[in-house]
Amino acid sequence: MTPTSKAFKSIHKDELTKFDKRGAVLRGTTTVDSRRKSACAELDSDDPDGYQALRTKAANIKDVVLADLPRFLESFAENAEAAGAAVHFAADASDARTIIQDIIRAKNARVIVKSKSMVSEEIDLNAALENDGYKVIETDLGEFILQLEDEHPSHIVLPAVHKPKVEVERMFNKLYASPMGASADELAQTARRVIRQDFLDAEVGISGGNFLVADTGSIVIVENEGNARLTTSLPKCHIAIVGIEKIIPSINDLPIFLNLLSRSATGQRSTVFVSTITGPKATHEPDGPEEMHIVLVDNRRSTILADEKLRPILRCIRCAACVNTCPVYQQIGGHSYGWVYTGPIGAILDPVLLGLENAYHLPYASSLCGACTEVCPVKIPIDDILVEHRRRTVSASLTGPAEALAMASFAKVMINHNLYEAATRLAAVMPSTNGRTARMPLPVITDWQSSRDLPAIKGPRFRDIWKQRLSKSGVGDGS
Amino acid sequence: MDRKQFLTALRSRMPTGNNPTVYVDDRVQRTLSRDDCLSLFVERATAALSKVYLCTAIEEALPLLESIIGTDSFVDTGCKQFASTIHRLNSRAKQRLQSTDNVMFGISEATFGVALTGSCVLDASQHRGGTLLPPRHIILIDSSKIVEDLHKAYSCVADSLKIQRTSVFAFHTGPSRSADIEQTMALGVHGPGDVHIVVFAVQPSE
Repeated sequence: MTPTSKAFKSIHKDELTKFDKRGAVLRGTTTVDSRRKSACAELDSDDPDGYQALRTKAANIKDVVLADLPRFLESFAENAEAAGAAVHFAADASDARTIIQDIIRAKNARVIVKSKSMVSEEIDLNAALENDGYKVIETDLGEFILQLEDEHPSHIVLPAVHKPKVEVERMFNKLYASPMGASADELAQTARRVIRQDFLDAEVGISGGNFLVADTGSIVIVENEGNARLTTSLPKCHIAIVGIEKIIPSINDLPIFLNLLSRSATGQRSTVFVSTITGPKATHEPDGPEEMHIVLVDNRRSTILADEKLRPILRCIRCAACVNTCPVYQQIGGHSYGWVYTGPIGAILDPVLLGLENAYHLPYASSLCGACTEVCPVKIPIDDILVEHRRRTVSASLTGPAEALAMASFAKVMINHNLYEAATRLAAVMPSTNGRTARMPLPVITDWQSSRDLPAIKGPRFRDIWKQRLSKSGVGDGS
Repeated sequence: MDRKQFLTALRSRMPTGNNPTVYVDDRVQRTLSRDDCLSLFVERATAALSKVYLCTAIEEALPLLESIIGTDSFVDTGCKQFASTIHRLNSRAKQRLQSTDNVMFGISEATFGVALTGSCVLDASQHRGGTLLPPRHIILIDSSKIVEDLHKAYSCVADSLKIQRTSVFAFHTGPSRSADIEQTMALGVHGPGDVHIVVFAVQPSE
């Protein structure tokens, strides 16, 4: 998809006026967030390590892998090839598209079924394949609904979280004569019926991958609908497209990540289907794809790897717990972010994948409350990285000289006693309307105030009251 | 991009300095008695919306399966241990999987089960289409094959992969579901929407 992150300021304002969409996002994210809380708390009794220790272990395992990524990738590739899969390496989006287009061309394919893959969104795969003349069907129910309207996912795990049910009813009514007022079950059955034939017709299935297991050469896919199992089982050719950071050392590490992923993502003890796929169908097996390709994608992940401050981003297992818990995302929704990865993880990932100059607004879409960091199952210090991006944005003068000047002045005031005294006295006489600090038509300040609403500053200052009390009681103020 | 070129480029970007300590798995293994394992499995599989039945004698299996299937059609996806039981289900002939919506049930055999998650693990010896395409699924499992948790389950997977490659180990936990339409749970999206697990709590004599 073409990124619109640069226009964040105007897009998010527009999104805030769409109340149906906001309601759906708020209901969806708060429901899943509360399920996450209880499922993760249950790990304290369900796992001998407990939730917090599992988070530490998962972060540690990811760090071990990242410190030695080429070796783990090599070992994964060797083992996957020994299992009969073909492994391809893609440096960037166009490289990845070309590899996949070449594989499909050789298959004489007509119909391609896809299960959920954020990397495929990242590299704009569907547009390229449709351009080549293939019928490409997103089979995840949420993604299918969005594809019908040429929309993009607004959430990593719940792609259509922004979509009120009545809109789906309307669309299915128009396209498939499904009755208005149909239940979620009935709508899902309609989708099942429509997509089923495509599953049976497809020559190629494209999936993502949640984990790459180095010591067995397996890819692991978690899902609830069964569409990923069908995508990786029915077509004769399976192509998995996966980011290079998805690797874990051993199949014995998998339970740690599966426990954290399903509970953090949807609040389930396990998702309905978890497939550990090791190569194509073996000769003695009754069915399955005859050919399997794994496309490992860098696409600027190595830039993150090389950057010590940003490196923990690559621990991410795409559970979207940070997204569901984020008070900013809950209001502005995923489409405001203007690209594939949304919410707090998008705000730290997109500026690297798209280039800071194209996404520098996103790290500002946060109150820095730290809720994201608290729920991250692999302990990514999301709020620290948000601040780091802001620092780099100001250093690169991307926000213009005014913000840099304002921040420098603020710093001066905060470390100089006389200036601080003067500033706080000035603040006390600031004009106010209806109990709020009035908007000031001044450069920088106007912009800053446009998204912040301060209560009016009134009455004597705390330090004056304190001084007065101390002098009444006859105790010195220590100065 | 050529693999060698890719890895060389990646190596040139690798962080230098302190490497994190190698992770040591110091986990305490959870061990449950056979009975506790079974009752936890039943509790958790039921919570995941599977319908669980216990058979204490192989003779109970046939009438139970007959009562679940009724007059509907079914396909055996590759049962081995319980092959003769399935064979005796003579009401409907086995069907070949084509446009499988006309087959109502898939009947499969789990390689093992996981108590803590209530999952049944199906390996690639089962016809994948048969486990996924029919709207209803019956999974047969021997209670002695139910392990405590995912750690034990994946160590079974690891052991099995060392002996012979199996293209897929699929953990099935309840019916196919989606909450993509406004967080309202819909069952049977793509995969089976109705899952019955028949646990044989006594080693079948067959």
